[in-house]
This record gives sequence, structure tokens and C-alpha cells, in this order.
Amino acid sequence: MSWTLVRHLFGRTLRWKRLVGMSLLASVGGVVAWISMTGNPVDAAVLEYREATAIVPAATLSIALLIVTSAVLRDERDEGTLPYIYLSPMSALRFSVSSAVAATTAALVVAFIGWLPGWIGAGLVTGDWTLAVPALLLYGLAALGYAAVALPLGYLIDRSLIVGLAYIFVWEGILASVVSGLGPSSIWRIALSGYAGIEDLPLDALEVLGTVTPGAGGAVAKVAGLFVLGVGVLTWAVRRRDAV
Amino acid sequence: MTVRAIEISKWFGQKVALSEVTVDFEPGVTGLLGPNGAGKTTLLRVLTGLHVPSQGTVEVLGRNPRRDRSVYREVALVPEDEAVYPDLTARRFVALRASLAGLPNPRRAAEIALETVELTDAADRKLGGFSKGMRQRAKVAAALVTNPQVLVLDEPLNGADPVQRAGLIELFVRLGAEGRTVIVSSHVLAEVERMTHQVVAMVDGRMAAVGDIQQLRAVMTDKPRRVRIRTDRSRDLASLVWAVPGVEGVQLSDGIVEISSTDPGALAIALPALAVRGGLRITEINPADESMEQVFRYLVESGR
Repeated sequence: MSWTLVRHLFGRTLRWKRLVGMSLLASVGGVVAWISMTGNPVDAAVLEYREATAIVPAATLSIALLIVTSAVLRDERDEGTLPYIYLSPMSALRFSVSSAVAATTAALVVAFIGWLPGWIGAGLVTGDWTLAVPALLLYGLAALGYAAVALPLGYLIDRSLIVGLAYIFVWEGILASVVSGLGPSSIWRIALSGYAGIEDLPLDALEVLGTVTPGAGGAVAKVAGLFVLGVGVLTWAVRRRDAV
Repeated sequence: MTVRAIEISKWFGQKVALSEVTVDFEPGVTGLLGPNGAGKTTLLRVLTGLHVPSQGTVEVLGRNPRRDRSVYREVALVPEDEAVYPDLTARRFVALRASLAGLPNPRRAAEIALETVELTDAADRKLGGFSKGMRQRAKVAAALVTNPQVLVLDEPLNGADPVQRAGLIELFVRLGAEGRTVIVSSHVLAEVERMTHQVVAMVDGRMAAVGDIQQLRAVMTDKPRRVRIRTDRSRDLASLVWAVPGVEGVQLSDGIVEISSTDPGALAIALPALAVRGGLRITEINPADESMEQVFRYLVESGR
């Protein structure tokens, strides 16, 4: 791995404006959870937190992660600076792994910031500062999963953002909800299944999962598989496709 | 030879950007000439491995850059795009390239490269605030930082002022004299002439001519030149001009005489005398075919 490339791509991806904007978007789920908990007794507040955490970020955190991670190599391509990093004596695999680490780190930063308001809200409302900790798995798995898919997408496709948004809204939001067999192809559902494996989610939240079986180990394995697949696709593209 | 393209074709969908290009580049400076859209940038991108050729093979220092990326220790490209990282200082930009290339002391290497292009004074300013010419020099420094054996420069003088141009040209000549392979693309013949006599000319994605620039010039001077002259008595001028040596054809339209001549110098000398003798009033003289594109098209057509 090239730490120079990781540092460069990470710093360029999380420029201040993007960091602030995407962190705000990623925080919507936590803020909604905080608001929905406020004024409720502790037991109800816990359920409110878990339900909001399972449902709301599907349409906010996922978009923030998509925007951030698809930009890692797309920015270089769109701005014509890719040759400066591409024409380096590092193997295609090393280039891809470094890019993936940069994308994942950027995604984890955004996801962590997005998780914070929910944690603060849950702590203040219930007095239990550990209540929101399991949700870190959900946010972390989502970060890894979207990074694995959006990174090669940003490198390969000019309109990667539109394709990514179509995936989130049409595929994950509509089709996977209607056709239960498509559930396993949803990154959000895979991440949620990990959260559901370590927390008792309310029925409304479990319904989102559809046919995806709750289980932290399975979710981690699936996301790890996605990550390997994403790095593989990017490595293939670096070897076989035009770089600019 | 250090860089070799064998039967290279490259197409983007239906558009053919390069068609069966075979060319070798030796140590020293070689000018890659051609009008805009001739395929120069595509060829340079294929040579450096940024583009995969649709057909044919590329060898750089005996290696295929698409398969053996270790070749990038010895190859550097200055891309045509103005793109640089606007938030980075020149020093950090050049050091980034050095660091990515795995150099043991990137800061020192950046220092030397910036000195070479005389950008030390501006090294700590952000590239976003640089003039076009300064950006070009920063890009050249980023390419030179790895001390490459093969240096590929795509229109490197774009945007540089005359003093900067002279400095860069001197630098490229020196690098070529050191035994490096320096490939410089340009659509300005005079610019290339100041760097080298060895040129490769392209048009419409095909090789038009390869060789010494003097030979190219000889082919060009054989070409009849066309001149458009506006006068109050176009018919009289048309009949008088036939007596001038080298005139091969005359056309009349709307008060304009278009003269085709293999000796434009003789025509220029004769015209004032003709005007006096015929009592003509000449109001406008324009070359009709002086664009590089037409010259190169002629080279291609005469080579068929």
C-alpha cells in the first residue's frame, strides 16, 4: 500500500466544504433519532432510537457515503489530474488497495460524524451512553459497503453519482422493498442485518430487512466480500481500461 | 530506440483517433507535429500507458507500460490539460510526485526539480494562484523530479510567455543532449524547430511524415501556395499575373483574384510592379492556405 497515495486521496476527497456538507447529511439520522426520543420515557426512547437509526440513514447516510466515496478517483479523473498519480511505479493492485483505504477512511470519518448526534441524543435522553454504541457497526458496515461499490463506480463511469443515486433510491428504496428476493443486493440491508444481529430492533425496522437474515458475522463477511470485489474490479479497470 | 509504437490504432466508439501508427523515438528531442485533432495527445497517452491501444503494441524501454508499471520510474508525462491541484503549493505538488515514485528524499528531489524550472521563488505558493505559464513549469518540474529517461511533453509551451518559452526550450534541448528521449508535441512548427530537427508529423490520426525538419520543409516548399488579392480591376490583374514565374493557376470571383504559385516570393516582388504597370489599385492581399492543417493535409496527400 502507498500511504502517500492514501493521504493524498483522503485529503482531496474530504475537502472542507464536502466534509461539512456530507457530515451534515450523514447526521440527519442521528438528529431525527434524538428528536424522536426527546420527551419519551426511557423504554420508548430506546425503541425510537433504534427505529430511527435503522430507517432514516438509509436515505441520508447512504447518499453522503456515495458522494464521498465515488469522488475519490472521479475528482482526479474529472479534474484531469489522474495522470499525476496514475503514472507511478506501483502495481495496479497497490494503486487500488491504496485508493480503497482512502475511500474507506473518508467514509468512516463521515459515518462516525453522522453517528455522533444520535449518540449524544441517546446519552442525554436516556442517560445510557452505551445505547448508541452498537449502531457504530451499522454505520461502519455501511461505510465499508458503499465505499466498496462507489469507488470503482467513480473511476469507471462518468455519471457515477446518478447511477449511485438510482441504486439507492430505485434499487434499494423501491425495488428491494417490493421484491423481497432483491434484499440481499442492498448494501443498507446488509449493514442493517449486522445491527439487527446485536440489537433487538423494533418490528418496523426489521421489516426493512425483508429476507435478509440478521447476523453480525454474516454482515461483516458480506461487506468484506464486497470490499474484495470492489478492489478486484478497480484493479481490473486500472490494468485494462483507459485511465483518462 | 527507447519508445516504440507498432501498428497502433485507437478508436473511441465510432471515432478513429489513431490509425495504424508505427513510429520509433530515439534519445534526443523529437517534435511531434500536427494540427489540433491530429491524434498527438492520444498517441502520447497510448505511449505512456494512459490509454490502452485498440490494436498494436507499445514498448517503452523494452517494456509494455500497461503490464509493467515499474517503467514509470523512468517515464514521465507533462499532460496537455491545465489541470493541477489548485490547493497544493508547487513544492508539495512536485514532492507528491517524488513520493509516489518512491524516491528516498522527496523534498530534496522536489527542490532540485523546482530549481531546474526556475520556480524556487514561487515554490510555496498555491498552484491555483499561478499563471498558465507557471503552471506549465510546475508540471515540468513534477515530471523531472524522478529524473526520467523518457520525458513526454504534450504542448508544454502553451500559455508560457516568450521568456518562459525560451527557458523551457533551452531546458528540453539540454535534456535531449543528456541522452534522454524527449518527445514534445506542438502544433507550432517554428516552436519545434527551435528544439530539434527530428520531427514526426501527424494528421487525422495517421503518420504524415517522419524525419528531418529540413526534408519536411522541402516537401512543403514544393506545394503551390494560394494568395487572394482584392483589386479594382481583377480581370486585368488575372491576365498580367500569368507572366510571373511560378504562377500555376488564377481564379476570379467577386473582385478577388486567387493565384496559385510555386514561388510566392517571386509573386510578392512582382505584384507592386504589375500594379503600377496596369494602373491597378490593390486593396488586400491574404494567404489562402497557410494553416498548419492544410500544410499537413498536403503532406499526407503527397505521401500517398
